[in-house]
Amino acid sequence: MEEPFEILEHTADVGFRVRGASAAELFENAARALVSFTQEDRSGATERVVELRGDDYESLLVNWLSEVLYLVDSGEFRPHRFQVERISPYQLRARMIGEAGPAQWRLIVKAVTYHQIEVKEEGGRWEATVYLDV
Amino acid sequence: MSSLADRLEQVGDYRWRILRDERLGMRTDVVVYASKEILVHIAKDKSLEQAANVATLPGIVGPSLAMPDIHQGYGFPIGGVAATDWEYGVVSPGGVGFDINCGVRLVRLNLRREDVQPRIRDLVGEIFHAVPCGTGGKGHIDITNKQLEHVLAEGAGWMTRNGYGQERDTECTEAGGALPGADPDAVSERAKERGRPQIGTLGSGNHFLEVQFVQQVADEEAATAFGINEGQIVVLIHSGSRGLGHQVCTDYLQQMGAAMKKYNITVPDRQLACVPVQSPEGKSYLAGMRAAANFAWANRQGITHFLRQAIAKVFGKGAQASVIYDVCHNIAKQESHLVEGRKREVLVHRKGATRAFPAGHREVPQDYRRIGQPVFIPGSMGTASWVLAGQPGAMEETFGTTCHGAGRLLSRTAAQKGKDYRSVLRGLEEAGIHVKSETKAGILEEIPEAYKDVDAVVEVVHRAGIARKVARLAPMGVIKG
Repeated sequence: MEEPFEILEHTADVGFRVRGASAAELFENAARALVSFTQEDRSGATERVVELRGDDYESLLVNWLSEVLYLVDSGEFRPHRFQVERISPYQLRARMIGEAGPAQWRLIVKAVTYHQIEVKEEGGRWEATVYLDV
Repeated sequence: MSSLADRLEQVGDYRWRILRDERLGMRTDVVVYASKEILVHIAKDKSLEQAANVATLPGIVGPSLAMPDIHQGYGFPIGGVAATDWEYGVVSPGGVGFDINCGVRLVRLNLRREDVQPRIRDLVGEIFHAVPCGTGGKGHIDITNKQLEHVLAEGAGWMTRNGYGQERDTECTEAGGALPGADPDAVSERAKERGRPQIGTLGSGNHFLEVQFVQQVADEEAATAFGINEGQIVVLIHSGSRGLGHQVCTDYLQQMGAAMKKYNITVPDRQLACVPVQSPEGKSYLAGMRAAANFAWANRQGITHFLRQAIAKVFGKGAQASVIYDVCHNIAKQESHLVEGRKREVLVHRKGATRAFPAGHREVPQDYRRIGQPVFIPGSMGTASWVLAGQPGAMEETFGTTCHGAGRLLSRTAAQKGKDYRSVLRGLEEAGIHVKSETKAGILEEIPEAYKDVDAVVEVVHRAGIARKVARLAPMGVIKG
């Protein structure tokens, strides 16, 4: 199956462009793009629910990906599946499926940046661009 | 191609300027240090636009500066320097970056190239085992939450007092290995959770540890003062504040949006978010940033400790490893500088730029004071690195700052394109460089072709009188994430 994201070029760092049929799917796919930098482990079935806020879709996306990054890099939880249950430009509620414990990074992601960040919707197609500091 | 490239005018040897343009919101000029050849590379990406964006920061003092290793970053260019007024200016977490106090430590060994060459595989293997990269989570140092509070307040000094080094290590570290004004309470629980198991780990990306020999001495007096001579072995450690620093920056950027509305500040790029230095938000960020900087020094101290263990294992207890110096290249520091003949208190943001104080400065350790502060410029994997010394020109023009590395040319994906892991490794082996990496991508992304020529970058700062050449170092062994 074709991945719903593509990795982008940037001199110092790395980015991805992600698509979705809805804002919820866009955010789910963006989280998948982020965890693609780890050795993926699809074994866990533990659920974790998060609720987050933002000033707009862009900051909500940075906060959402930063949440996933924190869980992975702190060794607290390694999610492999994401379900965004509720989303508006200002908040989201999502369920993550995975397992407690550290993940193995392929390339350690330091942080999610606001650099050239964009979330847009055109005719029901959602697309976002995100750059990561690695 | 940068749209600002045709606005560059030469204003001296190796100096180029883009005049302040009010339509772009610039409050000051951009000054670029580069040769004509390097300028061609700089004009290819968005670094000049980013340097012009930095020139819009409220309270910026002097020009927005670009070092010859400048390349496109996020918000600030990497290789960018900006001083802001301590009373009326802003602090921008993006001007420091996510990897707070990413930096370089150089350690000299009482071993020579001929002692190490036959055992380089053993040495690299031992170091690789002793100094984890941290891609799988944790390192070899277990500290409690209480101990972490001490690390955040006391930096490398806490490590040396607790069995991870020697007192002299901190004397030979920028700021003595601990910035005053660090507040562990300004660091979130999340940042502490991320960082606590990572102390003493290298990280991945461009972080590495390299066994090198002194290939050529350019300044005999300075090299003698730094304790190095031709053929001697040194080890270069390039790492930062790991997950702790990354989370501190993430946390404060999250708060900046609302704070900027409160202070009525607008910036051309969200990653340039900033608040007044003297605002509660600005003070809190600086207190947290300093704590993260102290964590980074403790991290490099932990790495030094494990490096010494690995060296002793291979070469016995007679092998000594002494810290020459330790510099940070992602930081914001309160400093006094003469600006247009007037002494001013400023906050110097160094984003991929290294402090380079000249001879006589009181912050240069006593042993080096008549020479100038040691500066280390790592090249790319498999190429040379340089030891420099700060020059008076840095104080006159660049807020006591020089370059920090070779500067990337190719993106990570472009670097990997058409390259085969085995043939890259074989090429390095044939050049006498033994590499051990946690990941294949770690090798391919950092190939020499991905970077500018470090010799050309160093030539610019040497000729511009910012930092002078002391010694060229050539690699023998590389440990990477």
